[in-house]
Amino acid sequence: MNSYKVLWIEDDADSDLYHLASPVYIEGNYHLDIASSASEAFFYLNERRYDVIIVDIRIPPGKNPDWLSRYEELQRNSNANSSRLGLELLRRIFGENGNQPSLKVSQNLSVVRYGVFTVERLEELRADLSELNLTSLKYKRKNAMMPHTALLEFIQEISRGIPNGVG
Amino acid sequence: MDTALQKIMDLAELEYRPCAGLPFAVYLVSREGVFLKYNEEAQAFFGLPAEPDFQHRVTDFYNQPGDREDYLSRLGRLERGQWLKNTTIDLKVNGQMRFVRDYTKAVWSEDGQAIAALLCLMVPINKGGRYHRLFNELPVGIFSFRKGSGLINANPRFVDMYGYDGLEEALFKAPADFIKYPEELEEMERRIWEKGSVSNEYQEHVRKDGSLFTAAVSARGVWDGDGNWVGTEGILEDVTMEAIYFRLVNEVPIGLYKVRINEQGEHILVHCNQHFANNRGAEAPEDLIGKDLRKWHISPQAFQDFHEALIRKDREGQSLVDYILPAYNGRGELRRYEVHVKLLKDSSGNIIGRVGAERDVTDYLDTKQQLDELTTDIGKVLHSYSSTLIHVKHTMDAVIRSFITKDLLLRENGMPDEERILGRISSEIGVLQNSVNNLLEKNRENRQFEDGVGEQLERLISLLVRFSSEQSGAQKLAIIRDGAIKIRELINDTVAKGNFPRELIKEARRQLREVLRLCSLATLGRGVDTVLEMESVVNNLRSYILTRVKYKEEPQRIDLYDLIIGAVRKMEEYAANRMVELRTNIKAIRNVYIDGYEDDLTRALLNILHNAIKYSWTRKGPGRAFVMIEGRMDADWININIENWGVAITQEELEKGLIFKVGYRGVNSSDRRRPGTGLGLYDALKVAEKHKGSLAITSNPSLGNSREDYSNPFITTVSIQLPRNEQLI
Repeated sequence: MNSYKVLWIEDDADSDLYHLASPVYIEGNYHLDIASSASEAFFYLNERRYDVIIVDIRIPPGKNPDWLSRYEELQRNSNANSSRLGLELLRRIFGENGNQPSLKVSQNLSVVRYGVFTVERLEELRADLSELNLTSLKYKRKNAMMPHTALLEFIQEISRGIPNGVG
Repeated sequence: MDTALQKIMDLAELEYRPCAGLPFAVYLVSREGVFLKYNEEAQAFFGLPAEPDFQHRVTDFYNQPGDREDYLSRLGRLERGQWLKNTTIDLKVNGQMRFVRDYTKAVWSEDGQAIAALLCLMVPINKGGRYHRLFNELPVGIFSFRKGSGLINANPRFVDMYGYDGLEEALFKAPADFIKYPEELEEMERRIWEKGSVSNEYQEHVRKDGSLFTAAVSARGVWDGDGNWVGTEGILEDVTMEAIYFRLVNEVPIGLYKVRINEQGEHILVHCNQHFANNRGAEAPEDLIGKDLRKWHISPQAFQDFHEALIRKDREGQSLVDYILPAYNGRGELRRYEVHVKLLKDSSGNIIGRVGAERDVTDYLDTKQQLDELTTDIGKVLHSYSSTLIHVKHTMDAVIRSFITKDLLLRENGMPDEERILGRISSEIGVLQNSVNNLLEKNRENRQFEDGVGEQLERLISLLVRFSSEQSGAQKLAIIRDGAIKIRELINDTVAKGNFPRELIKEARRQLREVLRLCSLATLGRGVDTVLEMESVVNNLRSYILTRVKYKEEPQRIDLYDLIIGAVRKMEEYAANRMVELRTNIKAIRNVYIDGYEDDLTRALLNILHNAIKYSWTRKGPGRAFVMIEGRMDADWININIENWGVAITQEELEKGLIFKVGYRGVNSSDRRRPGTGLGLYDALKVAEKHKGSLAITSNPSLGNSREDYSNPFITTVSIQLPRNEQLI
């Protein structure tokens, strides 16, 4: 069986959620890349085409000046203490307002391959996901009681939904 | 005759004699009002005996006895020898009202200290004359309009109110020339037509110069013999100020009221505004006016306490303010009112009532009480969290000790040295790789592994080798640990079913045990670091809640040097765990004392130190990361600077003060492990300001990197400035 290429965009992957990635590596069926900021995620998205992309909504901008200035711009316009750059990444992947996606590597645009793994409630995200026509993507809420296999299970759930397996 | 009276008569003789022959009533009375001498006209007017019997008193004839006191008082203020002229007095003589115009002169005692007698001249006036006087002197406007003619008569006050120079200027003007809004005039005329009169109607009137005033108008219709309405007469008052105050009284969002104590001792509400009525659960003031407010207190004792407090304050020359009064409202609900009250007294100093302002603070006090209870509860909960965290740390310390062998792998502070542990893991994995490869070699000979097990083992050992050479991280430890556990499972399964050389299996298991021991040591070390961080956060949060919300800390004399040393000591374990050294250079502020709040200042320092340690980068090469705490002072100020080398704060965050906002996380803070409460810098700033000082932060590139390049460390300095000479005690 071919390995699924999975991108997990999560800034706490090496801190609070450090235990989640290990089962994915051990299980052996997935090639896992972890991006801890929007800059890093953007870099990966422009390098490789992924089979499954899991996004945390609230992530830091990282060191790329474009993402940093976008973060500061969103902060100025919003009351939120930190901005939802995960949504910004989804906009770059899928394009917005009829625009083409702005990535060097065109990612698979089938919604079934995407998952949102975040602390926000789904209700809080509906409006933004609806704007991007992404209301049918898989959602999982982070919480303190989730098992260390939560990420693996989520990836497996998404993978099962991909028709014809890995392309 | 009484000698005193004789004396008075002797004094007044000279004054009396020239006046006695005038064709008016002339009489001499003592200060107390006893008739001493009078002429025929006076005798006839009052119906007195032919000769004074010193029993009759002029006060017996006053319709309003109080008028005489007022009269005497006015006389006393005149210069000696002056007449008090033209006073109109209402007298009752033989059951009839008589009106006189009076002229009086004081006769002073020999020593000139008191009025001994009064010499009075009196001119009777008829009703018309009296009313004519009233017409001209009353402080209200009197008017008379005739249909077709307009204003036909008005008193001087009316003319004055509208700003005309004389009656002639105002004569024959129509009512519409005086009333601003035609609809108000129409309404008044309609009511006069229907009911014959109106009373106290508020209208906007126009002066000659076009300015407006509010008039209270009372008027009646004038009808001719055929029942035709021919005119309107009435009075009006300028109530502009009254109207303003009325609006103010009813619009101000506070209850206002006045109480008078009647002869039965009841405390009757005589006036209140709409807010007071609402506060007390009534629809309108009218629903409350006339009620005895004492009945609405929760008990007679409660009312007594309140009234006594009011009296005590009054004796001190003050009003009673900020008094919390529990009382029932009109719906029988117990509420609490914050009242501000002043006693009312008459001219003799007797309490006759009170006026006050109140607001219903029940909800506010309930919320305050809940907040108080909540902060107590939170304080207890945080205290127990802190205890739990200490317990967890000690437990972890015990487990760490059980994992430590003679090869130690500990730092100076007794905590696991993660770098050395990871190095050891790397070595062990190398050895383990050999063992696994030997097993795989054996399997190729005798095929004892089940399908896929060999491939799994190869993959897992490659994973371990790969991650053992990667950069340090919690994930790396987790992957190595989970990988080792999986390899162990596979080996155990296979051994149960297969036939492998015992020494080979034993060796692989020993190496796996060692890898797991080392992973556990390193993970526990990280866990202890997390616990220490949380303990610091919880303690600071508890201190913040208790001192900012619950308790009011009293200022005291503080030795800043000791304070800083204390804070540094508290942070030592945390700093050591992070491999950050704390250095101090504070000799310059030894023996320096300031007035301050010790808990607040300690907490501020701990927060700043905590941040400085947390955001420090380990320096490359020999030597550890350090945080420098420096103290300096001049004549007026003490400066405490805390400097670290590491994570940058962006220029925008500094310029806009974002870094001081509650809950704010720095742009570059996410690469640290524990973000904290977001209160630290906000609280530290508030503490500095509470001490009339300031707090400032700079963050500058350290290695020649540009401001936008956050991949290289920045030097961040937090400077607290405190005044040396601010007296708070």
